[in-house]
Amino acid sequence: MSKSLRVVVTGIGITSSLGNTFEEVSDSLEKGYSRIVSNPQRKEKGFRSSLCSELSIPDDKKYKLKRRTKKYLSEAAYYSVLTWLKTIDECQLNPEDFMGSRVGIVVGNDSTAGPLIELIKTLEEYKETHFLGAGMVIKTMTSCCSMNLGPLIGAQGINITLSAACASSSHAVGYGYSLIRSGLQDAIVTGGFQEMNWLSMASFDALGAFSKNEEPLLASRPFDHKRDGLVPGGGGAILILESLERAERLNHKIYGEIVGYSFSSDGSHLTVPSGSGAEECMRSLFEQAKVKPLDIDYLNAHATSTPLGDQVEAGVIHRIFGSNGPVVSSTKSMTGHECWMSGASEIIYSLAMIKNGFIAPNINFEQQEEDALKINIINKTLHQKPQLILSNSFGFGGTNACILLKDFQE
Amino acid sequence: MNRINNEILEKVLQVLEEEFELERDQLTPDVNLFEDMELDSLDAVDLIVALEKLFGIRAEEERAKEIRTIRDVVSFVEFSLNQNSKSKRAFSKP
Repeated sequence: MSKSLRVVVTGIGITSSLGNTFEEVSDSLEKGYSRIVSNPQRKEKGFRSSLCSELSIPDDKKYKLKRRTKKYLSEAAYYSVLTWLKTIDECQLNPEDFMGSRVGIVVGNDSTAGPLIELIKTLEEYKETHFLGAGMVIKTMTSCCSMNLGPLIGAQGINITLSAACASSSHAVGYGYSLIRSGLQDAIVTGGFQEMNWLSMASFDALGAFSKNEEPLLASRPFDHKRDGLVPGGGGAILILESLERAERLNHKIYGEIVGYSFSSDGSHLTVPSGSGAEECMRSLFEQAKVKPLDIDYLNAHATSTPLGDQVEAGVIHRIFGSNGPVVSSTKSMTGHECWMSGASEIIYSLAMIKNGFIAPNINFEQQEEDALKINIINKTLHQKPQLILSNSFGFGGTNACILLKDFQE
Repeated sequence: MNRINNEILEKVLQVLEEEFELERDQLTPDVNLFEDMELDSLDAVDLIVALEKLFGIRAEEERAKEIRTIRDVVSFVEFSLNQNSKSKRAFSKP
């Protein structure tokens, strides 16, 4: 295949509960580390579950984020800007290479609830919209992340935020990949961002979807028979995608290659997955990328630790691969469910496994339900380098996205 | 040139320093906030709101549009304080 049609990852930035750099996060994944806590504020606000993952962001003064810039940033947009600056810094890239019309921005985000707390408080105090000032309109739009990244980066190609619930940023990476494959762009800054303030998760909590486990570190247990709901997480994940031709020309380090993106929709229920939609998505990925299911050696599952969703996904995996399929784990066992960010962050987690030669465990997994179709879920780290990885992401509305990642070879 | 109200000037300089991270030694009375300090139209909105909240005034928006220099900002605040005390238009500071 022509080098201009191959899409490689040449930049990675991550702000997650597992760490603040690619190597920190990789180390946490390999050790099966988790940072899930009980947050007392959530109980005060009337949440059914007080559990969430926790970030520990070091001082950002190094990046000279101006107050004038910060006032246009929602929580998610702050993660986007900070994570971009870290990407450039840690991957030793030249920011000028990402200016101009051949570079685009395609990111995933699906809420911006945090600033509404301040908006309502200001209106109640001052009784006039005038007092909201100029920043609020930017902060309260779902496209806040791509909007702020545009002027910061200077990219002049596409600038767009994709919203597709918990598959938002998987679709963003896939769409970015497609734009390069089609020759419309040479590089795409992609990723996903997830706000973690209480308001953003209140209505999700209302569904009773969150775990009520009293041991925070044992609460997120995808596929395990004792799972009782997900644990919300968040932060920021950025990937730089480039055509192989451009990456080699600019002498960029390559972390892995994206070799397929597929999508499908259930077209049935708002929140109950059909299974057939996810199956169609995975099968069309194999067809498009011309791989056989058994070529996959690691499957990074969507599994969020909800009773129904995990059962349906395990059933689909069994239907496609049988009992001797690829090694499966859900890194959400460690991170919680990073929702809008999860598609992109889990691609980064998978790339860490390729780079450092291991497969991360599905911690807290003991066994599937008695009557479940058994798949190859691991609860201990495997010290082997995955070559071909399938990353699943599914979202409310029955939106499905699959990304196929490969260890880069010339 | 009119004499400048130093008490108001001091508060205005504080707002400019805190809200826009401008350096105090550059903030002379006749410096142009837009041409010299690179504030834009969005900043202008936030400057007015910050002054209104600080001084407990409600500005006439047409008059706010005439602001260019720091001297203009100070006289704008003075004018608004006078107008508001006459018309009792000011909101009570929370």
